[in-house]
Parts: sequence; C-alpha cells; structure tokens
Amino acid sequence: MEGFWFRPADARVYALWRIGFAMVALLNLIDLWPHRATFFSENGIVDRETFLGAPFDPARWSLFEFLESELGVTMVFLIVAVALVCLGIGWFPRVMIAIVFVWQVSYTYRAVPVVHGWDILLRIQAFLLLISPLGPSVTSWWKACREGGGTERIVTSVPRYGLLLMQWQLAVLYWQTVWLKVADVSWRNGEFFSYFMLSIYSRFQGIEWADRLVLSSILTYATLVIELAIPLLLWCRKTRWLGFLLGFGLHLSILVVAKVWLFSLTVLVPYLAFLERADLDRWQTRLREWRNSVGKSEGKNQTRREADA
Amino acid sequence: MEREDEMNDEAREATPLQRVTRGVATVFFLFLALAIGYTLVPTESVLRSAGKPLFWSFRMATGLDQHWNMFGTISYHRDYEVTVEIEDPVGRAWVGREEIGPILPGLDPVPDHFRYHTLFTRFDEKRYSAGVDPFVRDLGQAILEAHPDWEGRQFRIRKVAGRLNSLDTVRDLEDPSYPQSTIHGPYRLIPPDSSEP
Repeated sequence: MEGFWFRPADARVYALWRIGFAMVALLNLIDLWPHRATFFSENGIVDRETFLGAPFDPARWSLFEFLESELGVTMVFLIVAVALVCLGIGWFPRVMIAIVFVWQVSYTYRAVPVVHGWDILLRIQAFLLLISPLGPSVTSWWKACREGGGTERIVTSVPRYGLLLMQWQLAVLYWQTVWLKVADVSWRNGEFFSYFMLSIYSRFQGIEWADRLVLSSILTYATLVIELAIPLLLWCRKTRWLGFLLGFGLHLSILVVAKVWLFSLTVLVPYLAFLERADLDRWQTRLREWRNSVGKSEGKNQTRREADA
Repeated sequence: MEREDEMNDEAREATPLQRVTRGVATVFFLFLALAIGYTLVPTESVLRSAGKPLFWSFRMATGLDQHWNMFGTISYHRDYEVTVEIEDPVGRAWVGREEIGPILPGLDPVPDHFRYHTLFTRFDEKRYSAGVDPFVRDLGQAILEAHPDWEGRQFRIRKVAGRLNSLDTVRDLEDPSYPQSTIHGPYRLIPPDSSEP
C-alpha cells in the first residue's frame, strides 16, 4: 500500500499542474475583482453573519470574518494576485500555495450564494497542491531548456500521491455529476442540450434549438457517456490520449457555447495530473528539434543575406 | 528508470523514523481518498449519515466538501432582471427608479455577470433565504442615505425572469419564454434607530 502512494513521478508534472492551477485561479480572481466589495465586504449584498455564522455551517472558517472593509478586501485581492503569480513561476511555492489555499477557502465560505462548481474545484486543488510536491520553478526549467540538454538537471522524481489524489478527485467529480444527471428527466429524454442552448447560460440562444431534438439527444447522451468514461480512459495507458481528446473536446465545446467559461478552464487543469514523464520528454525533444530547425533556417538566411551583401 | 530504481532503493534503506512517517502518511492519504470518495455516497443513503461523523468536519475544514450538481437539471431561465421599485406616495403605485439598483455598495443596477443570476435565484431557496433580510435592511438604509426625503415610503425588489417554455410550446408559439415575477417586500424606508417594526 505504501508503495502505491510513494511510487516515483516526474516533478515536472507537478510543476505543470501548479502552473495551470495558478493561471486559472488568477483568471478567476480577475473575474471577481469588479465585484469584490459587493460579495465580500461589509457594505455588500452577502451578509457575513448569515453565511459565516454558526447556524449555517459551524465548521466554516474564513479570513473575511476579520477583514470586512472594502480596503481590506482589496488588499486581500492584491496579495492573492501576487501569490498566484509567484506560485505559477515557482517562487517560494509552498508559502504561496498556503496563501492561495486560505484565499480559496475564505472566499468560497464567505460568499456561499455566489459560489459555483469551479470555485469548489479550485479550492480542492489548492488543498491537494498544499500537501503535494510542487515541482521545479519556471525559471530553472526555462534556464535548463535554453542551455540545451540541461533539462536532465531538473528532471527529478517525487512521490506520486498528489497526482493520484487529483486523478481520483476528477473521477469523483465526473461520476457524481453523471449519477445526479441521469435522475433528471431532460437528461434522460435527451432534451437537455436544447434547453441549455435556449437558457441564460448559452451564447447562442436561437429558438431553432427547440427543433433540433435529434442533435440534442446525441449531444446530451454523448456528454453522459464521455463524463462516465473519461476517468477510466485516462487511467488506462492505451486509451489515455482518447481520454484527453474527449475531455478537451467536451470542455472546449462548453467553453464556446456557454457563458460560464471559467468552468471549462478549471475542469481541464486536473487533466495535467494524468501526464507522464514520457509525454514531457517527447514534448521537450520536439521543442528542441523545432528550435534547432528554426535556428538553422535563420542561420541559412543570415548567410544568404551576407552573401547578397 | 534509473531514478525510479534509486527511489525504490531509498525506500528500502529508510530509517525506522522514515518508515513510521511514511506509514502515517499512507494512512492519511488513504483517509483523504475516502473523504473525497464520500462524495459519491448518495445523500439519500444511510451510508451518508453513517460517514458524516468521520468525514464532515474534516471536509469542511479542508475545503474538500463538494457536491457536483452543476447542470444536474436544466436552467429554467432565459433572461433575468432585478429592479428596485419605490412606492409613489400620490397614486399608491410602484415605480421603478433608474437611479436606484439593488447592488450594494452604490445602489447600482445588476451587472451582466452570471454570479448575480446565481445570487438572486438562490435567495429564493430555503438554504439561502436567510440572506434576504439583512440584504433588504442594508438596501433600505442605502436608499434612505441617498434620498432622506423618502423616509416613511415603501420599496420592494422585483425579480423578473424569462421562464423557459417547454420545447413543444416553443415550437408552437415560437416564443421561448414567458415573464415570471417574484417580489420581495414591501419594506418601509425607516432609519435604523427607529422603533417602528
């Protein structure tokens, strides 16, 4: 059992997960910025005592229990923005992820009525990253890449438990959502997609969606099948790339047709936990080959220009 | 491969303290996996209540509490509008005022952002309805501060949703939705230190 959790994984996979998380969490923070006083300050709409008070949920805790002024809330946002940038780069990542974890818990517990699924997923990822190896910094990785062949220095092995927990979390997310969806009549009769496209969440609300029942049925059932299958496909080495293809296809499609763009981006980040050392080595080799070919063609052009001159 | 072998060698050569630490960590990771997996236990099941003492506080404290019902049902709204209406003292009619919106601070109109739709629809749910009274109290104070001469008049919040028709109706009428109003109030505009209920 011990070997299962501590088997080695490539530290760069953790770094990619960390970077992906930091980028999406920063986008979420930027999205919340104009509404910070309304959702988190004492002058806003969401009452602190109601949603952080004992009757609602006694185990909740939040930094915003003590910081209620608009200035205080703004300061928290600025500190978290800096922490997210530093986390992405890999500067003092353990300290930064601790700050980000406190932020994720604090704002989701403070403003419960405005919280969506992706806020919860970011919160869970912050906790899992907090207890996981965080991988090499972007600067050390970049430096090693520039030096050519030096990447070996940053390719270290670390225990894989954090990646396993993130993978399991993604599976739980998909499987619970399928479980809840199949109980609903519009998912069962295949009309969900038509209704979704007519709804407030859709970018293309044309009423012709009421006529496209066959297309709606295919897309509705395909969504359920894909969500059910993705974790299994990603865990199986032979079908991993099909899992990536279907998952990215599903969520990028949602990104295009739905207004809740943060949802798709947030759900795609845990996919990075399914990457392996061989994937990264292959990408790095291709990148090196591409840089060499670009360098060679630039060299040829330079020689030709000199000859012309 | 070499590195993996090195790591396995390290594991074999671990000191007793390191082995104990790893054992404790293993138990912790297993508990974490179970705490995450607890999400899959249906809320209607007795296993859910049986597992609650073990997982609930831990999940809340660590932020692992989760429920993935997003898009579990259709969204019933095509559009959504929230406005503040003030009682006209002359004709006893309700008048929407452009300069007054429900968003605090600032009495701004509702921004075009999905989180506001979520907020105002959740205020109609039992779990979140306790948030309405403090919001209305603060809104009333903000209106009075902006318009002290309105003291004693009443205001209310009107939420108008474009409720989706069934697909059959959409096809028949070529009309995707119908208006559905929810009203909070009326509430009297009185200073916070007033003894009037």
